[in-house]
Amino acid sequence: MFFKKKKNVNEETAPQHTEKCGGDSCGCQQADGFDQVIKKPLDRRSALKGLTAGLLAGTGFLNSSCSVTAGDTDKELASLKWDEYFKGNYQLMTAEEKKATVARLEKMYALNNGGKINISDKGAAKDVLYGYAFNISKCQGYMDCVNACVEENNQDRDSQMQYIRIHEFKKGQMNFEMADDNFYHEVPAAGHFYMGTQCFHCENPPCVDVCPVKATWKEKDGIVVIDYDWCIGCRYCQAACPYDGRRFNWSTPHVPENELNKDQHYLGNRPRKKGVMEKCTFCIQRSRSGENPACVEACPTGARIFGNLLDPNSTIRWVIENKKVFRLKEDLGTEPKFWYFMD
Amino acid sequence: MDKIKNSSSYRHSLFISRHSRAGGNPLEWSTVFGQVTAYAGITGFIGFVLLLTTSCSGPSHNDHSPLVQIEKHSNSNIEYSVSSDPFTYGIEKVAVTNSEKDTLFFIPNRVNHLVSFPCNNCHTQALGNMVSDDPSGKKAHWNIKLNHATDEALTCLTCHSSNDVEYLRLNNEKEIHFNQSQKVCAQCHSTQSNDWVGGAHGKIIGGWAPPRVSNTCVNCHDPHSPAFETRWPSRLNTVKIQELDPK
Repeated sequence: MFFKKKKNVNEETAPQHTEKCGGDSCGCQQADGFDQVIKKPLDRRSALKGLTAGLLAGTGFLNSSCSVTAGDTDKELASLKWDEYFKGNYQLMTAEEKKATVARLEKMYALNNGGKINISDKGAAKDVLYGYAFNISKCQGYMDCVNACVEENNQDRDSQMQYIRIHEFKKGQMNFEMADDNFYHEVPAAGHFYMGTQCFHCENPPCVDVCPVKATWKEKDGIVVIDYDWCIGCRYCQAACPYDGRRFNWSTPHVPENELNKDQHYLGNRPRKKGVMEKCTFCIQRSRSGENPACVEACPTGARIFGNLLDPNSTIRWVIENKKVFRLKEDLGTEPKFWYFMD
Repeated sequence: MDKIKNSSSYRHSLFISRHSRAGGNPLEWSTVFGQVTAYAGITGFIGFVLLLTTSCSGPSHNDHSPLVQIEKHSNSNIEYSVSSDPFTYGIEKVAVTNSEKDTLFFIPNRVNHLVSFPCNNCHTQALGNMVSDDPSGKKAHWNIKLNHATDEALTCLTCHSSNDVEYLRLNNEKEIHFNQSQKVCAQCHSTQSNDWVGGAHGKIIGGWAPPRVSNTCVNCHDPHSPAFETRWPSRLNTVKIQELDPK
């Protein structure tokens, strides 16, 4: 914390800014992923290194795309893979580039699996800042939210990855180290209360600050997202998150074809790969079309409240203004957009 | 921070001085040693001052506070491009109004889901005429056990109208339609009712975007037995349990 750079981190303006001034030449801000990779001044050594790496990757693609024996499908796949391999960071893509990558991903899925998925690239709406409230008097530990989340967001079934944790506390304290996250009995247990945690979509997210390749950022509507194709899997963000909000794919995620949710978003529940981070996105594929996140929809107790913080008529605003609310680890200055309250 | 700097410079200076003994003039090197230590002291001091100033100003909480954003950018006339309508398709809605008859939000139609409504399909008499103290008498709704407050507080006729079987009843003897049953509950449960109208109690169905559609009291609570039973969680964290207790 002491060595934190005194810099106004504005996620929305940063990319345009660097683009305009051409990276580190004018010394304004550090170069982003695109500048670091594509525009970097080359010396002989790094040029050779790049060439070798490119060749290694390229020969694989070329092998199938130019082969006489490979079928048309293989060739098309290889060409799509080639384009995907060299695409830029999602934040720097133009609208056309976004459409193109989404089309490529859909096509690749169709060629590989034979089914059709819909990947959205819907951007943030004006005058919307998402917020979440959680009623700890109401949560009963039913875990319906966890099930719904897994089904909606195509998490790896093999490792039973979950974005939401439901903690069972003995009444009289709220110590997360004493909480039971794997309770195995009827709920609610007498003398206990329940509390859910997930990504809090901080307004000042430490996970975003530490990402060395800008693969994670805060969208204009406040959702902290990850570009799964830009993430290098260093897990710095996981270490930086004070709320245990992030998950890592240690192996290739596996979702049975019949359980796959095919309504997807580029920044949301589209299939991930081995070695990348993922986390709750407030169900970006649902919330950006006006729907409640899957956990809110699944909760039978109404303990979960989701809405637009900038709308004075929204229920989330009523909760913040009328109930006694608190946030976890407020002293860290992370400014989570996730409030807890009691009846 | 200054301590770290000092110690590293100190080690650096030691390194130089050891070399000075190996060859050259030891006197000359000792002045260099002094200069290096002084230099280290100065950088250390600057570092210390920097540390003090930066750590005091710290990360400014206000720059990123959602509360500041709420204050600055709130807009009561947002033109939404999205709506919750597609997600409540097929739910017939009833408006909840305030005392000025302004629509606040919507609740699902209730009478469509009552199994044996309207009541006059079976009952021809008013409820008040059917009341009997005879314990051996047959009950039409024998399966309903009133498990709500105490016998002293509630009987059937506290909520059901004694004049017209199709209606509920308020404390002022006004009859009220089954679709407005929340008004009956609100007479006693005013705190919950206020929370529900505001949005803190009860489940909002469909979407966060307007128009708001909320479950009404009886969509979750059985009015005859409003409390909930315990149940098994819908999933168990089996992988974690295996990790904790391998077979």
